[in-house]
Amino acid sequence: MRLILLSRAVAGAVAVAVLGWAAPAPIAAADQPPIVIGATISETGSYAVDAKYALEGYQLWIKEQNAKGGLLGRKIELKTYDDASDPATAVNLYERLIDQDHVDVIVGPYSSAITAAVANVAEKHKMPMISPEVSAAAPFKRGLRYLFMGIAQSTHYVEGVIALAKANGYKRIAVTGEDSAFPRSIAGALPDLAKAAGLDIVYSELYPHNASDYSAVTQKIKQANADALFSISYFPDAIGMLRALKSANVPLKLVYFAVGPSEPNFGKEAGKDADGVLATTNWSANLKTPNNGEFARDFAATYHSAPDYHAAANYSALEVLGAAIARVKSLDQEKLRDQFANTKMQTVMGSYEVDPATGLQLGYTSLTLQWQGGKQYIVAPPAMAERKPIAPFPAWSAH
Amino acid sequence: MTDRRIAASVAILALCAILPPLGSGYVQSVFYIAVLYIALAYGWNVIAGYGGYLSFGQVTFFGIGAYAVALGVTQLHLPWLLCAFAGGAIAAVLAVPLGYLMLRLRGPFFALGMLGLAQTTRIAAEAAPFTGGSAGIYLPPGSNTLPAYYWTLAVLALAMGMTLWVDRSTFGLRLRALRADERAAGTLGVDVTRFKVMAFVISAIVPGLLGGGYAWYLTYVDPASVFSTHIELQTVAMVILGGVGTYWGPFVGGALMSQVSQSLGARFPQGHLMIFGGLIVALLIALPRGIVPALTAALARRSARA
Repeated sequence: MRLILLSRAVAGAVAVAVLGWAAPAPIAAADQPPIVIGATISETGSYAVDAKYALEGYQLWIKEQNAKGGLLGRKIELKTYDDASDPATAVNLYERLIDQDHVDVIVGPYSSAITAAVANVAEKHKMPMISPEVSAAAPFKRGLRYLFMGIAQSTHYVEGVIALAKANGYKRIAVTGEDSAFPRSIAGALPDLAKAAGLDIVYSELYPHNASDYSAVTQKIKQANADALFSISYFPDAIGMLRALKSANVPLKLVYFAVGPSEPNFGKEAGKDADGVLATTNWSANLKTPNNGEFARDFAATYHSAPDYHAAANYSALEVLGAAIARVKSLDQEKLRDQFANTKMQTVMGSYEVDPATGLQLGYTSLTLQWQGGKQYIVAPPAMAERKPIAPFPAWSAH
Repeated sequence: MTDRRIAASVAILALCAILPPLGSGYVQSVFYIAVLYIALAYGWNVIAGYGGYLSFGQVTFFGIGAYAVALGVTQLHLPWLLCAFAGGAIAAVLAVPLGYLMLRLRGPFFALGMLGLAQTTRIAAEAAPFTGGSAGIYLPPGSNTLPAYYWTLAVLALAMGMTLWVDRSTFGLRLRALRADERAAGTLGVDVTRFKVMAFVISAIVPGLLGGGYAWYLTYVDPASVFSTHIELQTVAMVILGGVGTYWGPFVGGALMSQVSQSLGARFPQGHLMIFGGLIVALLIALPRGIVPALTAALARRSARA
């Protein structure tokens, strides 16, 4: 009898302990379903390499935000599908996210092609979508109400470098670059930009993808007597061009290689020759934006590689989304849309601000980088610059 | 036998016409993708299945059809349906000289030649001054799923009809003769080149017509997404899985593959391609000639026993 009583008492105590233990935790999260954010990511197919960073940008923000207690007292969940880099598959999957999975909000996929197709789905369901991976203006000039650009417009890409050439009076411009889609689009826009700045293009010719010999191009640049070189190059061709320019001793006052020198390895590979070389990026770990250092550190710790601008762009899209939800205190799509259209806020990328009528990004801008003393520094735009640009480009013998 | 095929085809097409408007946008897009691929598979099956010329480049005509609509709508301000028809016509006209040229190659050389043709057209579309290059062409935005779907369904009906004709006509008989032994068919008086080119033209018209609907569905066209090896390989795999050179092969392979691939993608976002690839390999090892021939053989055995 006693034993039974004792055992009852023990059982009661255990029950109280268990319940007592369990009771305080779930106030916020467990009795409310999570806020589900839906997107497709090109995990396979032609965009897979860069899209991985895009996905990790989304994931990192959600992880951090959940650690801070989620949003509106609810946990946040990311629901993604692989669109296989195929726009028709992406349309199908966004319909699925909205119709079947009933996600609460959507964010943009990777690439212009996929976004252009998916934007119709967002529009039909009246769900606003920040697109962190489309820098072309064309998709935003179609009268869509629910699409917002979450990255710097591509027209800003060479702006800082053009301004530098103009300020220093480097009037004779040589244009080259790899003969593929992206370099061609930048090189194609240069004549108008140069003309507007009063600069003359004295040489313009692209070299083939995977070129191994740049001496012919460098000789022509030398013969054209150019002051400034705009070479829209990736990493290997930027290194190859730089070496060819040095061995031909081409007297240039400005050397710009677009993408290649934005990679941290460029300095290692090019050594002292990197000094003075200019590049463009959309985001840098050096940016003095709120939480940027924390973002770069957490990203590297979580994914064991440094973030690139894709990761930063997707992360900042969710910063804007999170701030909008917190402000309107609901998931009302129309209210969120108005927030995306009218909010001005600081994210890791810079100042988010869009044209309310088109959704075109006005706040974010491209950054001009320069290698100085073996390190990358932001040299333009002036408001974000860490150092003044070095001009003219040091003589080859001084490298 | 043939009458039953016609009745069954009409019934299936009628179901495909009635069901989608009753479903959600998601259901409609699932139907669109399935019908698109089944129709592409029927187009491919004529030259590759009946003609024996394995092609990895029919997507060339799909891309041409897509650009016909993109350029026709944005540059010439024509109605998209008209441009979609024009896409099929342009594909047919281009297929005649291309067919004469490419069909000189045989076996793997033809397959590779066609792959090269698709790549060349894609690069040409990137470089041409009027295509917008790799930035692509934006069509007026809008939710065009149902119009694009019914267009695609109509092309499927046409493709099934043409396949049935090929299957039953002396043209099809000659085509199969040259598939079995081209030289022997030639010595027996079959005008080999003419029939090959005719089959090639049929296999170009179908994707040519479908490309326009695809452009209207996506409201965006760029070289990478319409001259896509992804689309080409999916189509080829569907016919091989269903049964090359059979009437029902493209339907069974196309319906099965598009559904399985979509539901795998949704359930296993990470490993879906691996599972899918594994399934195809397993199915093809078990049924090397495809599903439809295996089923037909099994049915024949049963009725022989009975």
